[in-house]
Amino acid sequence: MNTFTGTNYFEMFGLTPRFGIDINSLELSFRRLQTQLHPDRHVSNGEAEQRLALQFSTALNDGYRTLRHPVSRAQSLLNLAGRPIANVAVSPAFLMAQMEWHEAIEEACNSRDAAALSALSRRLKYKVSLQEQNLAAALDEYHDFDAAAQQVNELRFYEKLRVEIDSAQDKLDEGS
Amino acid sequence: MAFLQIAEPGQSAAPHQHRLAVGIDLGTTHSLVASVRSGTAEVLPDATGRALLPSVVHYASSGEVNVGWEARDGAAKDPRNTIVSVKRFMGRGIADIADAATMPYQFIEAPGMVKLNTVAGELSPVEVSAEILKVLRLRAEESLGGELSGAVITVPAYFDDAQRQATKDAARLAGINVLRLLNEPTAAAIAYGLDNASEGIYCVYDLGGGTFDFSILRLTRGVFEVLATSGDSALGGDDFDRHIYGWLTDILKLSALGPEDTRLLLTESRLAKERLTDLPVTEISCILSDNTPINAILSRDVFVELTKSLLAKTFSPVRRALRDAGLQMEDVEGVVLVGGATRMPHLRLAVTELFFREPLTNLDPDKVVALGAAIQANALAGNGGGDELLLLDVIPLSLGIETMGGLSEKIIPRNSTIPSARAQDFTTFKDGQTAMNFHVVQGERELVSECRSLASFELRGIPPMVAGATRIRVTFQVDADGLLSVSAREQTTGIESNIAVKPSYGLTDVEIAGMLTAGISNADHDKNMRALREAQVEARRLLDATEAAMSENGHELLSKSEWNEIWSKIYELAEILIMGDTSSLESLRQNTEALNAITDTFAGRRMDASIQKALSGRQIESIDI
Repeated sequence: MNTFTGTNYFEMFGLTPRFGIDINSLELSFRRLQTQLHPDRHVSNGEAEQRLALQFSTALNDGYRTLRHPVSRAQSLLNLAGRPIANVAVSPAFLMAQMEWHEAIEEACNSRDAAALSALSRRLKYKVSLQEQNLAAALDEYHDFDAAAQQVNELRFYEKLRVEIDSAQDKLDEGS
Repeated sequence: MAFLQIAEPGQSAAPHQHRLAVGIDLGTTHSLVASVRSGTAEVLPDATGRALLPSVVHYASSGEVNVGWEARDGAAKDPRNTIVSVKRFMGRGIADIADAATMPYQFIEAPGMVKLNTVAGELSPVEVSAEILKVLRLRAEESLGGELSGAVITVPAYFDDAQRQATKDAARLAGINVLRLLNEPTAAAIAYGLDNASEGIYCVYDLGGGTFDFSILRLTRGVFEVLATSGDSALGGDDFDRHIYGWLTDILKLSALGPEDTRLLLTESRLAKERLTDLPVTEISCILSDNTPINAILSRDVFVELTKSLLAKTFSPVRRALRDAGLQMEDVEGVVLVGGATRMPHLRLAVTELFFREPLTNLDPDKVVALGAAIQANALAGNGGGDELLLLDVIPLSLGIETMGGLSEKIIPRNSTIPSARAQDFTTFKDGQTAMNFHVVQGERELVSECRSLASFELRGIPPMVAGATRIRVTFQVDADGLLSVSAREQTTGIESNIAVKPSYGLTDVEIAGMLTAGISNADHDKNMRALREAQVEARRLLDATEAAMSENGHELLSKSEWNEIWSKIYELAEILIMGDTSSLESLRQNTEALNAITDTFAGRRMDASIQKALSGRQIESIDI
């Protein structure tokens, strides 16, 4: 049986496991596979096929989400390389910078300053894109998994900041 | 009837036999049914040609149940027994219904969902909704000339698990086989997208009678991918009526109105709102039950001012969805307006200003949801035509579990594409702990008390160990209807506990069974007939599916002996099905099970073949490009 069990997400979509993937090609495979496997395609089929369709379609959604987002894509590459990012420490300087971000978000939130929040959001986006370029180089060119693990870990902090900014914007919106 | 026409197995295969499938828009104020006939989706009208069915149910003291126009027109005469906008109560407790006090009903607190005390007894909103669905089912069956094989029923995208489950229960109660619950804005996008052959990012702004939904979709070659959805399940066109009503009682200093007068003024308010779509000024005049005459002039300007806050309330979900999808206003190709309330000129203007573009309104905002649902129903029933149509929808609200300190730990975040499954490990916090409670919640807030409680269950028989040593994996699975099931498994012993998330709010299977048989004198016989019918439908479905699968690729994927084995089970089941008497119920079930079991491997191989086909097709396509 050549089902999805045991395959990694890159194989699932017929992609070479690397950080720099062709997003269009991922999307195309995803749509083609879902067109065949989605539960909607198996509504009038037997129970076994319906159950498998649910499983496969769920796995496809999970795989697609994982590969589509840079952080989770890098994490699965590190897992494949046998270098899970658990126990990677961030530098004190990075932590200090994080504190400053938190303070800036809190301040913008308290003074109900929507413009400051969107400025922070843009600045964060820029930082993330720089970091992702570094990550791509570490993974695909230098195969420096230690550096990559460090960068992924930092990106996860940025991800938390993004969520924080988003929910601050939600709150401002609802309050208005 | 279909069963009597069963052909010889092997000859019937009939993969292209047309199945009667409909789309149903079960709306707060109106409901509709639509179907695809000779390739075109159309709304099925009633005998007098009316497409809309007011979602109003009147229970008369004579025991008669009236649904629709007549019930609506008589609402002010018997408000307590005339249930209007029942959708607002689906899957809701009394505390959730903000304006319960001003409604003319006798609410009864019941576990999870309110009940209504009427002349017909205590009724669940599920039962009231089922009355509306029954009328639509009969309308469809008369108009299409046969029994329905299934229906797609639409729900607001922002409906939570409880509200979805209640809708599905209502359909079941009305004798409808639910092919799929479909989100209303997604349905509208299908009707719209297919009609206009659109590509790109589209938004659907759907202000119905009682709910507001906003969805962002990406349309690519027949694939409708929902990127984000948001909304407010307690905001709709009805609220605009209520604001007029509030203004009326204010300026005319009306107080302590009885339920009849309340209903009368609400109706007058709705009519005034509708007139203001075409007129700058309108007059409200009627006579209260104590003969007090009511006269008031309402201008559009005043109406706009009165309802400004309601419009503003729809814009924060719009911005949130765009943020969630990581998009800007300028990425949006078009905005589709859905729902009768989007006819209001000041709403159209506000949406135009928000998106810097004219919204798309070329499909009737009242019908577009039902039309989309009909297209999806037709595709799901396997009637062809929708081969390239694929919907990828999302869950609207995060699903989580209660952790220490009354906090919600999110397991599946909002806007995850469904079907979706996620697992998380938990551990015991006391030495020797052998049982663990799980509380499943839905919502975005951190505090469990501010989220909707969906279910609680307990995993027992955990081997006693020191605190933190056990590993309990909790898995959430959301199916393609957006419904959740949860399982918990202790990893070392494999002790497992499963729950379809249902009992803490909705109706139990026993309650449904009770409602199904209520009022029927010969309940036992009826129950048996019903069970037999369900088993027959199931067997018939499996036979059709298996025969179609065998003829499609049985020869390639099965060995000679496997092929023969499956055919012999097909014959056995078909033979019992043709017998068709009540005594065959057990053997019908057993043989259905047997055919299911023996086709397991075949099903797996067929899915693998699909995967190969999809991936090889991809390579060809990428070479083409």
